[in-house]
Amino acid sequence: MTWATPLIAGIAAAIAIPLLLLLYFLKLKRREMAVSSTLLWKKAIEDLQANAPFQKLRRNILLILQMLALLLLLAAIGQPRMQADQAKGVKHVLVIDRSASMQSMDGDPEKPGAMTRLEAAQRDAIALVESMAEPGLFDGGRGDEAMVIAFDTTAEVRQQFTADKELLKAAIEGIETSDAPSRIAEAFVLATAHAKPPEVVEDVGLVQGFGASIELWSDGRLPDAGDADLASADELVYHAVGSTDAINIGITELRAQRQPDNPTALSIFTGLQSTDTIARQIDVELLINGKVSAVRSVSLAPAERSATGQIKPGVGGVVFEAERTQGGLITVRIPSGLAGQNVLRVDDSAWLVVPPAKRLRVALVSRSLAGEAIRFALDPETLGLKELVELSPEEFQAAAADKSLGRFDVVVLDGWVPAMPKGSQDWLPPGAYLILGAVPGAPSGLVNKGKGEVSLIVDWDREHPVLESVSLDSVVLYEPRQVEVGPDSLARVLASSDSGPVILEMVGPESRSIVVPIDVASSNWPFDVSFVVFLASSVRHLGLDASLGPASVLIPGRVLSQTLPAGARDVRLLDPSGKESKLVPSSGGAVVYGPIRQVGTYTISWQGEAGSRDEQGDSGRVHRQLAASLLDSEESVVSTSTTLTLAPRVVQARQGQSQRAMVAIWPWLMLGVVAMVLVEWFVYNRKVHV
Amino acid sequence: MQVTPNPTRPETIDDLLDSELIARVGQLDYTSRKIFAGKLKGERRSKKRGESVEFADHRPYVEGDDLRHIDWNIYGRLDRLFMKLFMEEEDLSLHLVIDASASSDCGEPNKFLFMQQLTMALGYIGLINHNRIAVTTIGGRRIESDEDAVPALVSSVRDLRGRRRTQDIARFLCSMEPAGGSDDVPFDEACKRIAMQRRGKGIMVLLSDFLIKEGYETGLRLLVGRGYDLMAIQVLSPQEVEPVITGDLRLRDVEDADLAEVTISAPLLKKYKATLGAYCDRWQTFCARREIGNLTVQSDTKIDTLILEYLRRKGLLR
Repeated sequence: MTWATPLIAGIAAAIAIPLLLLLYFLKLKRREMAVSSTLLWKKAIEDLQANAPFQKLRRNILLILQMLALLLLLAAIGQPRMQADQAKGVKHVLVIDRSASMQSMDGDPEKPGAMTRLEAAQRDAIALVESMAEPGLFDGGRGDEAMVIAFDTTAEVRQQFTADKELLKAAIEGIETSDAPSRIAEAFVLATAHAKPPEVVEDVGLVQGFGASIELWSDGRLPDAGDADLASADELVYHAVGSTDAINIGITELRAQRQPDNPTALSIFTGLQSTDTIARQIDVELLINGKVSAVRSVSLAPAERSATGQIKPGVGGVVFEAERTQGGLITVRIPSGLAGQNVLRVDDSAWLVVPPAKRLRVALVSRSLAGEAIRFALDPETLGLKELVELSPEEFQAAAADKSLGRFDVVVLDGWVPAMPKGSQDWLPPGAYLILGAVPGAPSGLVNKGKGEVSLIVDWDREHPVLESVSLDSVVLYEPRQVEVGPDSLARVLASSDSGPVILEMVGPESRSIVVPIDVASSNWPFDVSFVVFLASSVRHLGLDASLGPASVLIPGRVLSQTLPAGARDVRLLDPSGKESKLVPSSGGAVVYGPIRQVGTYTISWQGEAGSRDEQGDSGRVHRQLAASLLDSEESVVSTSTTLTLAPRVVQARQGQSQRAMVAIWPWLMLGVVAMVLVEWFVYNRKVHV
Repeated sequence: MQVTPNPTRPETIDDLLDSELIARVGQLDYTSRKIFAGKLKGERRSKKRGESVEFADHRPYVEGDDLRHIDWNIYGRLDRLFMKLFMEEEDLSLHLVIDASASSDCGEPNKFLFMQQLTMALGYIGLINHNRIAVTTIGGRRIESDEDAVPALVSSVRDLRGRRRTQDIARFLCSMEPAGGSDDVPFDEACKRIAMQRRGKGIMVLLSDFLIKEGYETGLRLLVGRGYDLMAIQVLSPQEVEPVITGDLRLRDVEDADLAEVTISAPLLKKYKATLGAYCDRWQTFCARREIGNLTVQSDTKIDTLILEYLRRKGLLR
């Protein structure tokens, strides 16, 4: 047994016990009564005292009872606790979807009482909290408990397990919608981690905790539900929110491209989808820097609804062409006024920040035999480059050290990669790289397996901009360097031979790169036209598209991460709602914010130098605009799914697992005090009356 | 037991003696186990040879005898002078003593009132039977006197004879209220004074609660030693016999302001009753040994019941 507040109890005892004794000895004030004679009374008292052996005790029984009651009370103040097996009540894990689709307002939004799906989910969750069993004072707190997890792309514990309904309600009410797409896997990981903490059981070892009841409120559009790692002991209750035939039209793709030979020509590709089962014709507006610059009509094919309720949305697209040298904020939106046929507003607009047209500056560090072929392929005039600068590895290292690499849009590393300082998260200095005949360092997750046998390229991503118009069928690799992509690697394989990956795309914290690990000199590729096209596409992709394509669009739910020029200070971020936050850049100039929750434009401003894509403002501050758009075709399908397909892994369930817990004893002591007072009352009455 | 909050004080004879009681006690008279010498000719046969019509004896004439009582018939036949002796009839001296100390002013009904009424009735019986009545109070003071007046040790009216003196007894009884305790009117002293002041022997009826701290023995011994035919009546209030008090109390003795702190409990009450019983037994045994007639009554006993039944049974009245 342990005591929670022994000191306070000790102090109280030191005061109360002497006080009680003092009061007892001072005695009560007796009522005076005149009688004819005290003769007989005195005699009776004397006789009584002489005859009763336990007279002293009998006279003091009230004191003893009072003392007992006081001691119990003091013990209760000490709050003793005991280790005991505690059979807890039901544990609920309330998992609430707050993704973009939960903003949908099913039915007429003008109708009174109309609420978003999130509001409906919150209302239901609060009703569940209200119905939870309260813990009793004398049963060791065996009430129901609940925890609250909100999730979109990421999951967040809003409230740990508690039986306090007010806390739970506050946590549920505090959940706000986010514009991020939904991913449930992390929420399930969190729920299981909290609901079933592993515990050490004697003679058994570490075992999984007991199962919990997971209550999920969602509209069921959870693309990763199949990956959910749920034990069979876990009870999952799925509360479907929203309407199964909600119709939505949304923008699911937005991409811009400049022609390499004519950088002022800007093409903006917009993809749309509709879940309406009839074909639709809608207008799409293009706004540049907030001004409507074009309106195009788009035909959307009817969506197909399968017998199982699966919806294959109808798609449509439009390409806006514009002549624009300067950069700007591109907004594409579909008009409002489709009440009832477009329940989700978040995907009705998409934003893209387009940098000004520019000719690329390319640096080349060549240490292999293929250098000449590369130099030939990267002819500045043919590719429309501003310049091609050749650097020695030492010059590259020096430039990396003084952070002047930023003046090059693309760096081509041939047969050499810089060694990064120990402990670095990134495998390359900040920038865009095309790496040939080398494998970046360990943080990249790529493992050099040495040279392999003659092989052919068997598969490549024909839709990737780099390999769009390339045929690799005729390329023969004589001694290809074999590379293995580690499990934690961020590398995406674009082309692979029969002995491993040949072309990879990697996006690091501050670097983007296309890696060709094989030594191209030991293949016939340099003599193939595809090599020239590949190099040109790679440089263009790394230098231009990367700032225009999907990679430059922020996705809600992800972390906003940007590298600012060295020396940037007083960095502030203005989010779409107009809220300004201060950011502190790292030594490398990196700023991190988020995960971001809203779609729209984010502006980072700072004092200091401007990078190639930044604008120098009037006030001496530099601005960089970033755009966040939903662009998630899964999320734009808002009709509620009535079923949730999980792939539960079979986990040995343990039945009736109890949990060791501290049980408070003070309520029992207080009960004892009450009993003592009752006994005292009874004794007193027996003394006074017959 | 407790002091009567606002005791009723009798003002006239009607408060002490009602006509119904008068009618019922009219036939009664006192008896005594002893035959006392009276002072006046009375209705009681005396040990003395006297002048009544009832012949008792003859004795030879000696010089100086009253010639009127010579039996001339015997002289005629025997020629010797014989005196005719007749039975003497004398009056009876009845002394009624009531304890008017402060402790009498207790109980419900008030013990003192009860004693006043009983005394009045007994006095009336005495008067109508031509007995010589004296009424004495031990302690007490006159109602008209000052609140702070020192209570008298004894006060009395004496030598009352004949029915018309009934009012005198009533007036005396009505004029007194209980006062004084064992300090200023010790029982022994009072008894001593009464015994000293006695004129002639007779019946004495002593009314008291006999709850006397310094003891009743000496006093009673003094009274009985003077030759009184003593009848002691112990008057207790119903509350003294069956206390109805509760709680933590400080009991104050009305006579000597002595304090007793008690917490009333069932065992204590039981013990009190046992103590009272033992006390009364001891008193009765004491009285019996000294040929003192004794009777314990509660102040709620009806006077007529007491007189017509209890006292007749005790042989005080016939």
